[in-house]
This record gives sequence, C-alpha cells and structure tokens, in this order.
Amino acid sequence: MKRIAYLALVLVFTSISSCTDFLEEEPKSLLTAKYLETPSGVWSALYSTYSDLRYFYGGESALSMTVAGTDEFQKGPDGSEELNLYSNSGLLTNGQVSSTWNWGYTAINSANAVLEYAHSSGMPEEDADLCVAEAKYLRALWYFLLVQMYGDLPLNLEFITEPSTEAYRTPAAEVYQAIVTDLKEAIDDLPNIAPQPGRATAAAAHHLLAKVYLAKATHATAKEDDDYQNAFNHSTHLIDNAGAYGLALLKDFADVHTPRNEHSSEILFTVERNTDIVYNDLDPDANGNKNNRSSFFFRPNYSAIVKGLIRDIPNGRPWHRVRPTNYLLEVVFQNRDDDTRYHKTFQTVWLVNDPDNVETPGFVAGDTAIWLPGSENHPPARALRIFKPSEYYDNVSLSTGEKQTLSIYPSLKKYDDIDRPTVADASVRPFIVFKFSETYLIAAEAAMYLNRPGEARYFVNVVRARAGFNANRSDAANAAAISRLTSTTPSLADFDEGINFLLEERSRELCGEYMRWFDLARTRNSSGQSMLYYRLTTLTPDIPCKNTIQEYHILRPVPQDSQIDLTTNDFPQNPGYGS
Amino acid sequence: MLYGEVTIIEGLKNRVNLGLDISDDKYNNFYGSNTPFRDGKLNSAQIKNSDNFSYTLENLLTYDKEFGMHRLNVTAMGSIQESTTISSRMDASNVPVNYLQYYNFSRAEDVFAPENDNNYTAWALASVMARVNYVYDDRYMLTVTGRADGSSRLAAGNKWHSYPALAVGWNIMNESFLRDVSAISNLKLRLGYGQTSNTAINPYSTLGGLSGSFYNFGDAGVRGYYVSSLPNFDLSWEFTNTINAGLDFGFLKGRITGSVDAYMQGTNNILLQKELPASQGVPGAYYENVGKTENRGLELILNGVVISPSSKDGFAWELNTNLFLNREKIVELQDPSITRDVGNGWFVGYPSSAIYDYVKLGIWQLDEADEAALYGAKPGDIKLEDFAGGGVNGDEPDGVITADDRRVLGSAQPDFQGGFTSTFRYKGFDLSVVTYFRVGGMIVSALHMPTDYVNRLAGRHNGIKVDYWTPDNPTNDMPQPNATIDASRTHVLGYFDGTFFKIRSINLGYDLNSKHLAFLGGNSSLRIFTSISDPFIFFSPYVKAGGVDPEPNAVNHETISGGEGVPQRALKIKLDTPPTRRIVLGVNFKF
Repeated sequence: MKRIAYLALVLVFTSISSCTDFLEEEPKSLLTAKYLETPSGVWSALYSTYSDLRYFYGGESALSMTVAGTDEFQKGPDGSEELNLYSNSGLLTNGQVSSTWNWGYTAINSANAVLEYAHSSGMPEEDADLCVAEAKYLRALWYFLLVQMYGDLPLNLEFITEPSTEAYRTPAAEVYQAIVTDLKEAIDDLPNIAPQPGRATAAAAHHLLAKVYLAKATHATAKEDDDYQNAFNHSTHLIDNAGAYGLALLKDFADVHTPRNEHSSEILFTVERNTDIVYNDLDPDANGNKNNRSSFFFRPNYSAIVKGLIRDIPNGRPWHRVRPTNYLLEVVFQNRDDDTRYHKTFQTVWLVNDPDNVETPGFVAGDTAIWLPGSENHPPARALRIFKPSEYYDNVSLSTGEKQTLSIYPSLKKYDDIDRPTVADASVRPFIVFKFSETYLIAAEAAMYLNRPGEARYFVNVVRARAGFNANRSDAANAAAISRLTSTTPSLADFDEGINFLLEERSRELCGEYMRWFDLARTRNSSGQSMLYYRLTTLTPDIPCKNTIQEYHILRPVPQDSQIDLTTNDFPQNPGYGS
Repeated sequence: MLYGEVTIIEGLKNRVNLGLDISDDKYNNFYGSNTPFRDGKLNSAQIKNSDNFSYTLENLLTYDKEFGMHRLNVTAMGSIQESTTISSRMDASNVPVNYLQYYNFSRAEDVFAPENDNNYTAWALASVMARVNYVYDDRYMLTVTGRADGSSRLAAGNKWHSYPALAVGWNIMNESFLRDVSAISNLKLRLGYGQTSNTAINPYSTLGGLSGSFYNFGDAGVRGYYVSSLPNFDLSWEFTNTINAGLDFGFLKGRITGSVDAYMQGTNNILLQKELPASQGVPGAYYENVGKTENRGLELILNGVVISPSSKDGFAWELNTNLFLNREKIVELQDPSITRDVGNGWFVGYPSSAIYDYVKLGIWQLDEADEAALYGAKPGDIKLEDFAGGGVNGDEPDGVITADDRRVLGSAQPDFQGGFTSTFRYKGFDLSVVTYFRVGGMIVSALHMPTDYVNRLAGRHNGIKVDYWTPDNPTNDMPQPNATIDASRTHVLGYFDGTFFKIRSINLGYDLNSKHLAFLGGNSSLRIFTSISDPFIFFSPYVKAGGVDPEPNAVNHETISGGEGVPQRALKIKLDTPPTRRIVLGVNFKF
C-alpha cells in the first residue's frame, strides 16, 4: 500500500516538473509595451503625452524657469534665492531646472509611440491621421520648450525599444527644423475647432509655429531669412480667418482669465484639469508635480497680515514664491486709468471674512481688510490696513531704511480658483497656454522686423484698444480712453525702441503666463545682446538679479545627474556652467 | 510541512516534503478630515487585501552505505517552488458621515482604484541536485555536488543555470601521528570550490512595463499609458564562484577551539538596476547583468574556556571571539571598455559601495579670502580640492570647481570587523557581555548634509549641534550658515569614518537551584534575568561629531535628496529611528 502511495507521489511530481511552461511568466496585472500597438494603446500613448503637459503648465518647476528671475517677477518670501538670482550652483543642482528635461523626454517617447504604431494598429485611417497630427503638435511643443531652455539636445524622433546609455547633442538648428516640420505636417490634419476642450487644433498649431519662427529668427545658428515672413504669415492667417477657427478677442480683458471661462473664443490651447478626482491629478501625494499650483505661487500671505482675514477658497492658498517687480508695477503698469489691465490683473483689495476676530471695532464682514492703493500718495480710505508700494515685501521702507519682511504685495488674479474642493487643494482649473491676443503681438513683432511698422502698430493697437474697455464706465469714456491708448503707441520704426515697447506690451497683456523668460531669452537688441541680459541689467527700478545675471544665462544647464553622469559618451555642458 | 518517507531497499530512502504557506492580509483605514493625515482636506478611506499561496515540493532520494572503512552517502533531489500573490486595493474620498468609515464604499463621493497594490505576482523555481559524500576511515572526506536551477524571473533562454561544487576534508586529528598528542583535541583541514547563484530580481522585470497617467478633455476623463521600464530579453542568473580553505582546531582537550577560513569569490553577471540617461525617455531604472565583482576575505574564530570551574558551581569564564574582513571590488562592467559609471556609482577597481564626491579640504579662512574669490567662494564656505580641468584625467587645477573634481572618497567596506562574547558563571549567576566592533569604512550621514532638514545651515533655524564657522570661530568643520548655501557641494559634510566599538548587550541572570523548587514537583525551574541592549558605543568618530549611532538605519535603496555621489549600497544614516537601547527585566518560571 505504501509503495503505491509512494509511486503515485513520484508520478505527480514528475508530471509537474515536465510542464515546460512551469517557468513561463504570465503577467496578469501588468501592461507591457505590446499594448501600445493596439488602437486603444495608441490613443493611450497620446493621452499620456497630453498628461505630461500637466508637469510643466501649472507646476513649480516651470514657474521657476519662466516667471522667476525676469523683469516681471522676483523672489517672494518663499521663493528660491538661487533660482531667482541666477546662482550657477543653484541652477546646476536644483532639481527644478532639470525637471523639464526629464519629463519632456518621457512625453516625447510617448508621442513617438503614437507615430510608430498609429497607422499599423488597425484603427480607421482618419483616426490615425488625427492621432498622428496631435502627437506631432505635442512633440513640437515639448521640443520647443526644451530647445529654448537647453539649446542643443538629443533629438529622438523614433520610439525607443532598446535601452542605450549613449546620447548626443544634436545642434539646435536641426531641432528647430524638426519642430517646424512637425507643426507644418500637423496643421494639415488637425481640425479647425477642437472636438473636445483641450484637444490640439490647427489654430493652436499655427500660433505655435509663429512663435517658433520668431524664436528661430534670432537664434545664432538656426535662423533663416524667411523666419519673420513665416511668423507673419502664420499669425496673420489666424487673424484674417478668425471666424473659421472660432477665434475672437473677448470684449473685456477681465473675462479672459475668469474661473470657468477657460474655453472662450480667445483661448487657443489649454492644459486641461477638472473637478473629477479620478482624472485631475489633484492628490499631492500621488503626483504632486502634476498639480496645478499656479494659484498658490503669486499670492502673498494675506491672512497673516491682519486679524479678521483668514484663508478661504476664494482668497486662495498663499505660497508667495514670486512677487511682481517694482519695474512691472511702476513702469509697465504705469497707466492704470485708461488701461484697465492693472486692476484686472492684480488683486489689491482683501475683504474681511472672519468678522469675529476683527480687532478694530466697527469693522464687519465685507469691509476692507487690506488695501494696496498702488502709489505713495493715496486718498483716505476706510480699511484695517493700507500698504503703500514702499511697504511691499522686500522694498526698502522710506522711514526706517530697512527691508520690509511682511508678505504683502499685489497678487496676480489670473489663476484664482473658486472651485477647489478645500483650501489646501491645488487648482482644478485648466491652464491657459496660448491666447489669441498673443497672436496679434506676434504679428506685430514680425511685421516690425519686416520693416512694416504701420501694420505692426495696427496689430498692437487692437490689443491696446481692448485694454481700454471698462465695463463700469460710459461708452464715451471708453472711447476716449481707447483713443488715448492707441495714439500713444510708438511708431515701431526703430527696432530697439520697438522691441522694448513690444516686450512691455507683452507684460501688460501676458504677465505671469509662463512665457516671459522665453521672450526675454529669444529677443535681441540691435547690438545682438539678449534682452534677458540687457533688460535685467539696465532697467530701473533695479531688478534684483541685475548684478548676478550673465550673458550665458540664456540657456539653462543640462541636468548633471540625470543626463551627463548617466551618459557613457561625452556630453558637454552648456557654456558658463563649468565644464 | 507534510512529508512522507519510504524505505525502498536497505540504505535507499525516498522522502517527499511538501510545504504550504497560505496567508491572507487585510488592511483597511479611514482618515477623518480634521486629522493630521488629511489636514483639512476631504476624508479618505482605503480597503486593501492581499492573498498569498505558496508551496514547495521536494523529492529526495538518499542512499547510505558503509562497507569496511568506507562510508558513502548519495543524495538526489528534485524540487519545485511556486508563489502567487494577488492584491487589490480601493481608495475612496469624501465619505458623507464619519461613522461609515470604510464599511460602505458605495456611499463615498469618489471611489477609485490606485496604481499601487492592485496586482498579480507569481514566480516559480525548479531545481535538480545530486550529491555524493564519501568518507574513508573518518579521516578523508570528499563531497561532489551538481545542481541546476531554473527561475521564472529571468529571460527566456536564460532561465536555467547549472553549477558544480567540490569539497575535500582531512580530519588530521584521526591520523595515527596525532592520535596520542593530547595537546591537540581537534584538527581538520577543509578545502572547497563551488558555485552559487542568485535570481534576486522582481518577477516580470525582464518584460518591461507601462505605467498609467490621467488626463481630461473638458468633462471627459481619459487614461494614458507610457513606457516606464524597458524589457531586457537577455537577463540571466547572477552566479558566484567561491574557493575557500579552512582549518578547524582544538587544543587542551577542547579548552581552546577555533577555526580559520579564507575565501575568494568572483561574482559574475551581477543583477543590478541601472539608470538610463533621461534623454532615453524611459524614467524607470533598467535591470541588467552588469559585470563582475570579486570578494576576498578571512575569518577567524577563537573560543576558549579561560577559567575552568573548579567545582560544579565554581567560577568559570568563557570567551568567544571572532574577527573577519572582506575586500570587494568591481572587476568589470558589462562593457569592458567602460571603467566608470558615475551616475550609478560603479567604478572598476573599487567596491560597489564606492562614494564619489568632492574632496573637502576644510573651510576657507579669513586670510584666504583672495584665493577663495577665485573660486567664487568667500571665507566661511567649504573649501573643495580642485584637481582637474576638463576631462577625468586632467592634472592641472583649473581654477574652477566642476563635476570633474570629484574623486572616490571611500566606501562602505570596513577594514575589518569582529566581536567577542565573554561569559562568567558563578553559583547560579551568569553574566555575559556581547560586543561588536568595526574599523574603517565610510558612513554617509544624511543628517549632516544640508539637503536634509536637520542641518540646513541656512540661517537661524533649529538644527543639530555642529561646529560651524564664524569669523570668531575659524573652524574647518562646517561652513558658515548662509541662506544661499550651495547644496550640491555640501554632501561632503556628511561623510564620516565608520569605526566604532559597541557593547551589544550585557545580560545578567540567576537560576534558582532546582533543590529549592523540589516542592513543586520535578522539572521545575526559575530564572530571573535582566539585560540591556546597545548600552555603549566607544571609539566612534561619528558619535564624537554629534551623531547618535554609526550603524546605518536607512533602507538599502533609499536615496539621499540631491543624491549626487551617494551609491545605492552605501551605509546611510537618515532620520529613521537609530538602534534603541532597551532594558529588559524578566522571569522564566516552569513547573
């Protein structure tokens, strides 16, 4: 009996061990790269490329790279000293500088997967064409961000399936060519009007291409003679055919950035977010870098200033990373009556929302807690605290000569979010990437450099005229304001005066919109100096980084630890950063 | 564990072992809105299950035979092992009433399944082995083994690896010329050669994988997938060849015993994760057989009865000591022409835990202000050594501190380690002291690096007590606190010599004489004891510099923030709890 039992066991054992697939792995909960070859896989790769934009637009790394350290914004109480002041070692080691590089290549690889498999996946031809066009648009957008920030860089145009530790810096001129080709091809197959909010459109592609040509036009090695003409063509194409693309400037500048209005006729492209907790990457622990924290960065710590004012959802969460420079407030936004944009861009009044804790008797909910009149002399007003510009954070007090330490200054309103679930949450608003008003300014810059100052001036005045509209005053008053604004526009015949004026106009229209550093780095004065270096060292009131910025800072350093150290061949660093 | 054993013919046995392991793990939680975990945000709940079923089935055939002075033992084995784990997890947010906790997810506003903890993992191992053991006259021994293993985790075509082992022993004690030497009680020589192997990677690592992301277009949510790890279709076993020689000895009728062992190992095809450059677009690390390392070492054990008890309860003192050292180095990386992989911290000729960073000469002093200015520094900043200009082998200081000025500073490998245990007995008392020491090696104290938060040196913040430079205190230890402190160059502040001598524990106990307990019946015993663990640390440069304990407490793969220069395998001390000092008082009572 025992023998039989023993024999049975041996048989069982040998039959198990003879299963040839005993050692085969069958991953039942993992997706492998094979999935990307199916139609749903191709779309998922495209959505992943879209999703990666959330890292840049609305994130802190992009803030540090595009808003901080410019003539518009300087370090706020919690800002990074080293990034705002262009300290080399800070730029070399601060992870925020290398983030865009790291994310960008992941996004580009996903876009390349779409291009690789879309047509062979089995999906209908029109869907494949659309998918490929969107992927090309997104790839071009990412490469444009990367080439402006880092210069020469590895140009991956194919989906990567084999690992390699080699990488080579392709010259920026070739990168620009690839970007231009991608966008031109994308324009053919993208729809005029987005089928869903946030999808790429031909209009967005034209706009981006115009920007690319403007940046390329001043690039030492990438420039070509017809760049300005091309920029002019693509931007005016949108302006002349605005109706076909569903584009129109809004009547009131204040409506452009109002919460819940991110898909108006003026908006060309957004990086989407919504209130659905499953899809909006709102959890800071799961993926904090994809949070839209733009509503935090520009806000001073209002609730710490005076009793009776506490943090709430409408007033926002104050991370005070950056504050407007004195130059922006005093010079760029000097005109505050005719030009309504100052008051529509900045919050300067905070109202009491915590009446039980007010210390001054007689103040109730809704009374003014803080007022920033915006000038040293102001009419009397009833408010708990009033702060003059010399009392803004980091300004020198007129009475004591010491630097102010209180976190108070005008707060950028463009990213305010009333729909966040709780006070501590990041924003659920889509982030506006491109606006139609910028198309006019692009056209103006291109026209100016084509020696057509009249047309340039015309385009600028369209933007300025809109800025003169104030819903609270009469039509006659508006008309007068508009006429004053448009008549004081300079002639734009001289390039130096013109480019400085256009940059100022861009600030008035687009400040804080994650593009200033790029605009300063790409523009030049007539002696060939970058406006980044020229303006930051010569403007008055002084910009804080005027003594530390160098000419080579028009490029960011290539990441040391995630790229150079891991590449087995020689991978040179950008000039000036030590190597 | 079940087994069945059958004797087939005399000397030949067959045994089948079956081991089963079944476990079921549940973890549920609920965090209310006003708890520190949620900090005012919406409440959250989680339910998580994990089931595991594993089994091992071994089939052994053994044959024992003795004839004359020969003794033979043959073993053959075949075994399989399999483990399957299924996990699932759901997260919910905004539960309407706190008492619902996690009991009814249908009532929560938002329910979703996170990327982590929803998976199926299965792996399998299969082995066959045969071993012959032959002893002649209890003096000469020979063992020959052959083994083959297969693992599901490796790439197809590389799943099986076979390897031999050979050992010989000479029991010199039993030789005729030593039989009458009473001074020597044991002497045995051992020599061996063998190979072992390791499949230590996670299942499915060779297949590559996708990770998910989210997006929306207006109100429509969509899911994206991107490649987060690349497949490796060549991944195979990591195996180690070892040669070792040893001598066991005993003198004075076993009063002194001990052994000496020396070994040399070469490990090939090491399975390590490799980071790819960011421009590859694949963010995860990539498994590869990356090269060869070599280990050589020596181990000494010496035990002795220093004082033999003169009577049954007399005073006795026993001492056990051991000493060991190991020298490791990377011999080759996967591509023989590459001698250094800076990003992963691998340098040919150095241990795999080599630390590569700037060399700190001290702190710039007031009288060196001009020289400091050349490097963009000022008195109070860290003074780093400037070796090279442009390229690894540049030999002229170039006046700029760049990434090429980094050098291999040391590694986690100690010069030698060891310890001793000393036991005293007298009447019913026993006292033992267990010690351990390490000499050499470099530890990485993340606490001292300004990239962690307790030694920020960025202003008047609370921090650990360190000797920092001020114009009145011209130390060469820590730099002057400065808000613009250059974080990348400050890792050098956290490297310390890892030498120490620790008393691991002191134990004192008393056994009550069983005579006194006779009234409770036979077999009764009572023991009272007290012990203290980790009471003292001596001779530690790290403790002298303000550290708590020089033994590492960070998990092996945890990186240090801004982790340039610190390899995975370094000994790291972070903010985790250090080894604790405990005092135990207890009674063992049996009746």
